[in-house]
Amino acid sequence: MRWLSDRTVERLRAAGSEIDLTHTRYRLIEPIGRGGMGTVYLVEDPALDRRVALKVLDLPDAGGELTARLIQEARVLARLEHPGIVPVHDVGELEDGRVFYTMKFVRGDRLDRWVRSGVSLRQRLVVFRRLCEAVAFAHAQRVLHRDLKPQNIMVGAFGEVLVMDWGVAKILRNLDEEPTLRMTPEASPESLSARSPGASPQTRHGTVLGTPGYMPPEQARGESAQLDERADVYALGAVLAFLLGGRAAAEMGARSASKPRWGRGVPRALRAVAEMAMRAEPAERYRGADELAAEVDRFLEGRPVMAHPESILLRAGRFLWKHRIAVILLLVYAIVRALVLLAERP
Amino acid sequence: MKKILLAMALGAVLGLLDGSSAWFSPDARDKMGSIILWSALKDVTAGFLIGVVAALVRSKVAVVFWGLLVGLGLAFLVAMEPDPDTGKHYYLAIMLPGGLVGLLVGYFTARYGGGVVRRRAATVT
Repeated sequence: MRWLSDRTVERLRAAGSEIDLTHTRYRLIEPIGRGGMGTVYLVEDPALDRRVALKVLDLPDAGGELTARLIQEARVLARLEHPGIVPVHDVGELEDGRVFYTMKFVRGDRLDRWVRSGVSLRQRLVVFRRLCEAVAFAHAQRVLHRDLKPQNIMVGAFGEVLVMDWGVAKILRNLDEEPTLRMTPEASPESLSARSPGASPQTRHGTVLGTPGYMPPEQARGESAQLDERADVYALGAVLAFLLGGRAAAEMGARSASKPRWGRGVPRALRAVAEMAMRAEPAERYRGADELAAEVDRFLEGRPVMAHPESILLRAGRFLWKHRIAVILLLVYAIVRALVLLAERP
Repeated sequence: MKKILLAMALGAVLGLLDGSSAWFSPDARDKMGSIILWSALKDVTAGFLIGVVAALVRSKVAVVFWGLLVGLGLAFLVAMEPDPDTGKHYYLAIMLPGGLVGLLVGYFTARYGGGVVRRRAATVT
């Protein structure tokens, strides 16, 4: 028996990572990402003269389950038309039967890399605010992301935010609808995908999907049927903690992911906001991403946040600080007036 | 309009306070009424002039600077009139607080008075 050389193995791997797009309108450029279920390629769409990202299953799917999931992921994206959510362009099938979909090719940095580029606290909060808006929109469309984490969030050159990887998304049932639901075990190595063999595309109760440190306790327990918007609120809290500390909540030495360990210089109000979003009990968290965004707005505007009630003294201090120029001018006026009066005295 | 009213209200309040401070000068106590009235009138006028500019100009610094100029200018006009009893001029005692009142009115109006008046966009046919 002869062993293959490393170079041969590398060539075989490279050949294996190429896809045959002959019967599609796309031209392959290069692979740009890989996940548990499929690979994302940068391709060119000659008809529209633009580059798009194409996601395709790694292998033909005999059972049809992964295919159904990929299509479902594309449908979830198609349902979510929002500037903060990566738009899907097309769904199709390769000659070998593998299903693919194309989406916008996002230029920018992943949030975990972007945060290392020395951005200010305000910039971080503005980006977080945009992330909350995108997630709130998805919630309004009855879609949960279920795997929000810095690696799944892209920040563009102008601070635009795009939420990626909706592979484990869950469509919430409307009260007047039949149960639905969908998800695909996705992509990142950190993601847990402990699924029982032969499971249907619908998430089974007991299935654990998500990323440790970013998924709420109920999701980690596999209580998928109980998940609602507050599961994403937990993940947003963890992302906020990451943005404030620069490290993932799970890496911050937290015994429980609900209680991150904070570094120096993190404002107390913001800590309180992140901790409230990450409460173990869903009922104690913010009710939605929009409520969390409103808290961040309050902080940005110099107002007290709900999660951190302040004493009268603190409020007075905050008020004086906010209007410090006016206070200084009034003080200067009072002092000058007093000096003039003193000087006039015989 | 909001800025003009705010500036005039601020001028009135600061003018009253400024005039009332004359009580601490024993010589001026018997003329308190007229001092307060003229001081308030002067600062309401200053408020009007500052408010009009604040409603049209976006730059806070410009409004504050204009407030200082108006305050100093009106105070100078008042200080030009000598004291009827002593014949002395009190330029420093009148102009320094007067200029500061104008500066305060300018700052408060620019900071808390809301946005500037929008100019009507040209229509394209």
